[in-house]
Amino acid sequence: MRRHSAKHIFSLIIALFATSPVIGVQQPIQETQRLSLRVVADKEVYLPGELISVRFIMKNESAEPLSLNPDLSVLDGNLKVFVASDDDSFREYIGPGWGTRDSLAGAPIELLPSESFETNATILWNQKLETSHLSELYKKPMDQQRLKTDYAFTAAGKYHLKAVIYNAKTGTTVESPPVAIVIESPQGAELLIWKQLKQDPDYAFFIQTGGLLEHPKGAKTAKVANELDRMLTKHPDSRYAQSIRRSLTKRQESIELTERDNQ
Amino acid sequence: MAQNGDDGENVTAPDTGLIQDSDSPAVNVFAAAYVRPAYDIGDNNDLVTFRLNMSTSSTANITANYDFDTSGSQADTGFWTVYLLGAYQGLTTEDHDPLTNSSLYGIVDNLNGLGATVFNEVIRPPETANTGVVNNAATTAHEIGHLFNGQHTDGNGLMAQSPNRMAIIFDPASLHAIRSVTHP
Repeated sequence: MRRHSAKHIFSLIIALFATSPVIGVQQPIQETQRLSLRVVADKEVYLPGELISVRFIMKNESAEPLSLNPDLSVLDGNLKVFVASDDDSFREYIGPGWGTRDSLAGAPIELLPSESFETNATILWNQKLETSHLSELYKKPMDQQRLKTDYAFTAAGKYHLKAVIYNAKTGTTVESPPVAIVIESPQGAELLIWKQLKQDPDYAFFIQTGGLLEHPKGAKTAKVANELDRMLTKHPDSRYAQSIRRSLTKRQESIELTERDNQ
Repeated sequence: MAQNGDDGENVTAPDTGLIQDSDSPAVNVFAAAYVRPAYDIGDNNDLVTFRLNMSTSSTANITANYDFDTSGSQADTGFWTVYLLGAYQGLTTEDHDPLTNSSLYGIVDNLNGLGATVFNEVIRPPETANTGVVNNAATTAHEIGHLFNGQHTDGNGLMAQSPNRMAIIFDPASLHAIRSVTHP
């Protein structure tokens, strides 16, 4: 009788694993526990409101080859970023469009022992949660989990960044060691730019993505783009200039893409 | 006009079978979060420009495809609207052609953003074998869940990515997010 029951349970488990929605691509079970994760920022010192580029390096630490789904990215939401100031706990940072792709990963990435896989992201605009309408009971834990400002870093000081891989298949996580970055106080022309940027989180969203949540020729987007263009003309050599220039180019590319599609 | 055997085929609106104007959780997965959709704006447009491969490489490229006439009430405190677009497929790297490519089922412009896009071509047989938890209706409800701040890491329920989804009900973390947000 016991054996009979066990067989039924086993059959049920097999049936559950056999209901893969995939045709043509075998989804590997993510073996993320054999990975190490490292975060590398493009610099050590930034200004508030300056775009931060980070690389996430996942390395096969085992002696065996490792098959990995290529969906370990911030856009897929399986890779998360946390930020802490020197005297505070880590809070989650969520950038524009992060965690929004519902996709089935393609061919797996094969990592030999000691081989690495890399993805990247930028950090600037933060998906702030509105919690002021909630009671303290609900508000407090949400405020403790998520970064509360529109810009990821608004004040000078020493901060730490870390990343975490969430493995939905196994329910496990892999965490990177924290990496330190310094935000220094802007001076002169850069102070003037920061004073203007911090007035409106749309500047951050635009610098990071080359657009806003509207058509690239939309009125709000055009206004932000014009203001940034003005800042760039006035202060072409500031530390903000390169990322502003890139964002304006991205917007132009979006406009051209849309016009080409409409022809 | 669609290609590869689909010439002349109409790209339909996403399947709203799980987000019906009802208090029954069987046909409105948001009922558990006290949200009941209404389809009374009259802003349906079946004549948006066809794009064989819609670019999702940036939020601006995603929203450039929207024809959202009532975006003014998207974040209204008393009357919310969301935009829902039925598209053909994503970029050539995510259209499951060849089968080793990834398949993009759906995307929103941003968490708590304006609208959702569901890609009809890749989420139907023979591209994908539909199941009770991975299909067009589940994808539509999942994407709208993102507009209410639902996240892929909420659990293995409706907000999980399609390969990891075990159920078409929201996990407690998703319900908490939906109930806490001021507007979708």
